[in-house]
Amino acid sequence: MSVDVLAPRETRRDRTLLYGLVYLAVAVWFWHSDLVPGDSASRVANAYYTLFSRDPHLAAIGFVWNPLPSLILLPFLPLGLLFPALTQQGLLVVLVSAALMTLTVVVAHDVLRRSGVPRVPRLALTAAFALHPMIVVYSGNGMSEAGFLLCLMLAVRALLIWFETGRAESLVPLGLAVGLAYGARYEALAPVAAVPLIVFLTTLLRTPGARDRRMALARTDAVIAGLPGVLAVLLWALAGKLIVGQWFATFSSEYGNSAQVSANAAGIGSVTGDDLPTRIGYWAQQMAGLSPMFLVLLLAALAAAWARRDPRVLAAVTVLGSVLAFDALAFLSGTSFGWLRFHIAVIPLSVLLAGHLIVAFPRRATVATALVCTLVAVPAAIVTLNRPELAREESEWLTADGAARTRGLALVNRQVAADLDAMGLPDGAVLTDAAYAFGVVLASDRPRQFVITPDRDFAAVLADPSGHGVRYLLLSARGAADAVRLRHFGPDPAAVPTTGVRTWHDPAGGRQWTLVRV
Amino acid sequence: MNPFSARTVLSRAQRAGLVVALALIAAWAVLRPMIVVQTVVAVVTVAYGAAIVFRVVLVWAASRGEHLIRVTDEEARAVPDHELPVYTVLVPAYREPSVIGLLMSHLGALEYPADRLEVILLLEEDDRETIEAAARVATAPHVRILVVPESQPKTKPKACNVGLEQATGEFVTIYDAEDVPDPLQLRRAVVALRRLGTEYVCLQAELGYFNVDQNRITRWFALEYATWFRSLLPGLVALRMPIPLGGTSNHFRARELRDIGAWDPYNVTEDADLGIRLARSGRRVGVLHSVTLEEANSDFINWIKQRSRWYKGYLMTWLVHLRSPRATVRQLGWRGLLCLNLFVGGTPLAALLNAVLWATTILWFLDRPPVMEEIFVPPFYYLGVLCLVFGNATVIYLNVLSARTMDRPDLLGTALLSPAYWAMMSLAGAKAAWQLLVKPSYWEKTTHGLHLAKESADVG
Repeated sequence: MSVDVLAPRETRRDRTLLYGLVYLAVAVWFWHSDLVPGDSASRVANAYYTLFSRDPHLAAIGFVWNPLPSLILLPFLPLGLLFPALTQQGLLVVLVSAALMTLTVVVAHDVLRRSGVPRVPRLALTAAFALHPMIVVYSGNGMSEAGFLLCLMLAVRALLIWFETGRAESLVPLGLAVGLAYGARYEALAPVAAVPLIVFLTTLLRTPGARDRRMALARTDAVIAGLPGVLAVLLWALAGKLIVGQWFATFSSEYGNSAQVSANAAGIGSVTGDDLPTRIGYWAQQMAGLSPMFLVLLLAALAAAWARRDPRVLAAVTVLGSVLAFDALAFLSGTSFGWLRFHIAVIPLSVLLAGHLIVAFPRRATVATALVCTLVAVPAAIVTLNRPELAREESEWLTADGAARTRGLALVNRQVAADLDAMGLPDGAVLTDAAYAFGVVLASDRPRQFVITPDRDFAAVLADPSGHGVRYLLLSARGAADAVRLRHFGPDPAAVPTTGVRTWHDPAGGRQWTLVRV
Repeated sequence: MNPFSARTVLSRAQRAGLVVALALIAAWAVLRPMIVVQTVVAVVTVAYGAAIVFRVVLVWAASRGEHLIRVTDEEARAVPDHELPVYTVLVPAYREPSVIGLLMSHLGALEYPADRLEVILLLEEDDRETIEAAARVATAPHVRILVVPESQPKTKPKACNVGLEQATGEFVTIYDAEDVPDPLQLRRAVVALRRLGTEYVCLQAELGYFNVDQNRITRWFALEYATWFRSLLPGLVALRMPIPLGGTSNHFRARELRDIGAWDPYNVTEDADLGIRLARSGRRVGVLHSVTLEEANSDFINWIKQRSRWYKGYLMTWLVHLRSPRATVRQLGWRGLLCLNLFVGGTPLAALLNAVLWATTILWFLDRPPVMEEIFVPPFYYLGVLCLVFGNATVIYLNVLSARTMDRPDLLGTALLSPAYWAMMSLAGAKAAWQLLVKPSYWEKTTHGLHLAKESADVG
């Protein structure tokens, strides 16, 4: 083997290591600054319940959120016994997201290479993706975006290979990647539908021969590409129906996305606008904030693909574009929070579109223009992430005020856990709703003292706490669907007694937790 | 004497071991019944899961690179006649007078010089009808009728052994009476075996069906064979594991075949057994890209008979090769052991267990008996759920993929309906297990010619 063959491989490994180190640093920063987001901590908690709760069972992983981000943590959880920070402070989840994002960069680079982008622009484009501020933030904060992007990128890669080779075998990794993507986030419903459709149309149009045969081939290809995704949706729904009685808990549960959106409708509307035109404006600002030249790149790449009769750009457009379209529709129709991260797929999509443009027109001017169009996203994103009205979640970690709030919540949770631990209560002595108290349960050294929502006897204990040995109710101050508070004190948070009980406040003075004796 | 003959399915040591094991389990079951049931469920679940994983690994291994041996038409025809070896074709037939005429025309289509070809029709002494039919059509000088004298066991491998004794060819192959081999198959086998060298002593040609579209059963069967020959066997080749041979179209070097004792007349899947014995003797088998078309069994009862014989034979083969465990481990290595247990033993056992496991699942959904929660201990319960959901889905998915890779997209529906075919397999598995206990060497004759017009089909 010659040195020439070895050299690129060596550099690729080094480069991957470089991005991996950046992401690792970001992850450690999130953890060390006590800024691990609640959504990330709750994914750890969902996995944690299956092993360390009072009633350990796999279904404790819950059905409100798709399971992959928690499942992937399961094998590492026992390490938490040796290094408690991994689970109690959410270190594990941020490390895992850093690893997943590193893999995403590796796959993105490979997609660019397979598309035929020459070395220098390819490295520049990979960097434009890997060092995009939004990607860097989400590499280290433990959210499900890293895993989701990895699945989507694997799907793009497989679809691209299939466009090139036409081998039915390449549809298998494609189908599996889309199925896995649904395991990570429910937005993958869009590629679950779009991918088989594009495969069907492609086979139908590009296969020679009689119409019947082309139809039959197209149907079979679509089934191979689509079956894993469809099964992932159906089986997850069926599991939810059998175990918690709801087909799609994320939409129908009182803890699910839909319920949260309606509970927060007024708050969302005040930022994003209530009518369609305002919402479109807000959406466009967010999109432009992440990739200002996206529309230009999209139109140019599609035009180039059309002119060259080269369908390969559709791999990225179908997989990533369908996710973007899904989130756009959800937001514009008023059924989503409109978080900035819902548009994260636009970042890899812009990079891949630029790659296709460079391959179509390898002239110096085009290459430069495409690179500028992509790289301009970096400063744009820095500005956007510092605008709390657009980056509502991110500003809770990245701005001084927001970080103080996030840290305050984490610390108060830990204080509650420490105080409860110090009381030396027996197993099952504290009844609480894990949808809000996950941070407390996770931070506790004695997780078995809690009776939590996923426990199979939760409903019975809720109905008769003292009969089941419960001594205290731990109530969230504001949880709209806190089952324990609703059951014992009704929907009005003000009904919770304030005297003769123990309370915990965040640094700003807001009451967070109340401990009521049964 | 072949030490792995299925003349006795269980050796004395195996029998003693089995009795002791059963006695211990029975005693334990009286004392702690729940633990015994839990252990059985755990073992079954793990083995079942392993068999599924093994299958997926085979398909994956097969898809990475080329593991079929290909010889082009040009390469096959390029060998001058005088450089071709004498080739013996053994055709065992029993009570198949109606297909003998067709057989002659199919063998006549083989592109191989007649002076280097020796066709031996192996007919049974008591089968006057077929002998007479054969005598009428087998007029060419290179075709011989060999009447196998009446003796027990009266099986296809016994007949083949008799034929092999008299064969003069350097290479030997077997075709069934209804087979339609690729005309260049013999030449391809010669080129391939010469190219591969003496390490390879056998090539298995692909089997396919000429009556795929006759009914749903034949479509399922065709799909199953496509998976078997295009994915599973090439996967075994890729992983350097033993190849259980298929009943026909295996091409041997005659001398090596005689050296290892040829076919076991007591084994009802002598082909699979031979594949394992070849591996034990350190010889290699390849899969040749050249199709022999057979008749897919189109009749439910007939299918069950044939399949139960196969399953019985696989179980036999599995048991006889576990006879001297130390020698088995030494000769087959861990790869061979995996293949022997998960593929040879696993295929019929999985078919049999499927019915039990589905019945358990249905029972659970209908009644939710609390005792089942106790029987399925958590880790094995989850593994079981995985097998139930992903195992079944995976196999259906692989069938869809087979339909596509064999370029038969019209079989999509057939692939998606595979679970009904598995139910048939379960029936056959139960029959096989029962027969292994009561009449192990009984050869369930498969009726051929069902694709012919009703009146001319013969029932044997």
